[in-house]
Amino acid sequence: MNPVQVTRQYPAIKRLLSGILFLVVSALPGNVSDSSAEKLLSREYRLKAAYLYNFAKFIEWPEETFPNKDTPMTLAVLGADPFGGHLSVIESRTIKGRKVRVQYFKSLKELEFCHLLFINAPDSEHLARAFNALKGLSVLTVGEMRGFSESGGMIQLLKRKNRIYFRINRAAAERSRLTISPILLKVAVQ
Amino acid sequence: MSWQSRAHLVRGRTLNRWGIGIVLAMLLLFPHGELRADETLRSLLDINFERLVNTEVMPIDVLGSHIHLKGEWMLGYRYRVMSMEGNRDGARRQADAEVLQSFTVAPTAMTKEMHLVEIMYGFTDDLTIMALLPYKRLSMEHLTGTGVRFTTESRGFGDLALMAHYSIWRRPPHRLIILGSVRLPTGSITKRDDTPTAVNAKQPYPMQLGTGTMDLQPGLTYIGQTKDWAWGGHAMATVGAGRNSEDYRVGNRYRMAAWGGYRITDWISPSLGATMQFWERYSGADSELNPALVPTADPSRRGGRRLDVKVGLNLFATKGAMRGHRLSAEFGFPIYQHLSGPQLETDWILTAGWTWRF
Repeated sequence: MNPVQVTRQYPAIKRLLSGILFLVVSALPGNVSDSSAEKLLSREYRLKAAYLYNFAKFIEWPEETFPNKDTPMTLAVLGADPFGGHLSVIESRTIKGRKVRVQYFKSLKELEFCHLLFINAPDSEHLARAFNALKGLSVLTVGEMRGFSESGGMIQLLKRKNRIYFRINRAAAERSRLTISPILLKVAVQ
Repeated sequence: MSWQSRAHLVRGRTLNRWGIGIVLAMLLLFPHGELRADETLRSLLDINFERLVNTEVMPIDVLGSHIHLKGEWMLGYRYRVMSMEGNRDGARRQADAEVLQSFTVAPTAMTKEMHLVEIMYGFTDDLTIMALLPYKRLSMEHLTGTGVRFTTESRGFGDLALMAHYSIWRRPPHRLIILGSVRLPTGSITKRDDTPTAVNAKQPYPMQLGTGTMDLQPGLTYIGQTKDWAWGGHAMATVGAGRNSEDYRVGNRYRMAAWGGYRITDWISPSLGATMQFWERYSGADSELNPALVPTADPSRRGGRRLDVKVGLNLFATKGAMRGHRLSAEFGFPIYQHLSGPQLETDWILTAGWTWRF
């Protein structure tokens, strides 16, 4: 008996199959392209957001980056936001007794000083321009692009075997007068 | 409209009502991923750094058997036993004596055992490839018109399947996977055994270990998973190409399944599912088999459909030296079967398995 015969003989199965097809077809076009929605919900990026929060706890910034006791710790994203806006959840926390502020910069033109900057560059050229703009500033740069730490980034997030790891470019951090806690250095991959 | 048609219609309406009820219940019961996202990030902010470093991106627990990650291997073994006793023609049971009115020999019972070794590798988070090799042991009991009972057996490797799964759509907690498989004809289709009337006689179709043809298995799987629930649906076809060396082709098979599981703890999860299968009669015929002798030698009496209900239990080691090992057991029984008979009916199916992810 072929599928056509089956569905002819069993109208309930035909209706069920039609229903499944309708659900699949109606769900696909809107959602397949909606990659930001997927990322918004992605556990991977929730974990990475938690990493950013922890990095900020284990890094020492020069005193002048906090002009007064009320200056918040600023975490920011440059480029498309892979955290789907959920990084703002960290604003409910304090880091080293300071309130947290989260900012989103779509392009280098909008960039302002921040303590930690997650760089989501579309290519190595944009990445190089971002590093150039940050030269001399005590900004902890974090990214996940291939070759991020080799090309001057300070912390590169890596996903390996179902876990998030990170690589530290200690020289780049020291050039920006950032002190990295031994706890981070111990856990970082080479 | 005949009584049977009305019955189909009533069953169809009931099925639809149940279907709508189940979908609504799922929508209400299973929390939407977006609502959970903030809450989960908050909980991730609370854990200490050491724990964060050891947190898995995709939590691998008792519910996570269907998803494999980049670089991950999985080795598995499954034992499956199927018990069949008594004949049916259509949905009606047929006594051995009734079968013997039309045939010289009636099959009375069959036990199908399968040892399946599977190995999987996650090429990427979305693409998993796998190879599955079964070893089968088939045993069939018969009764002749003269009252003689005898048993035939066949054993050996079945058809090797090479399979790939690819996630075409992911939106947590939902995932849609297409799968494709090529089944190579490594199983014998020339198994022989002794019977009361012939030495080394060619065994009938259901006693052969493979199909003898290159088979394609396209399929689609939907998986949903939240912290405590996993559910899914699956549709797959097995389509043979050409005819085998004995000049026949095993009928195509279509399989649809739905399941749900609940995580009681990280390591234990019961499951409930249903599988509907349709399989076609064979085309062509093995000229060595006499279809008038026994119904299992008649290629036109190989079709049927069956709905099985399955209950299962899964155990998963989340820590210690046994971490990544899973044990599962599933018991299934048909609640409906309709066979192009006389054909042996299925009574129950038991599957026990072990997998190890590393």
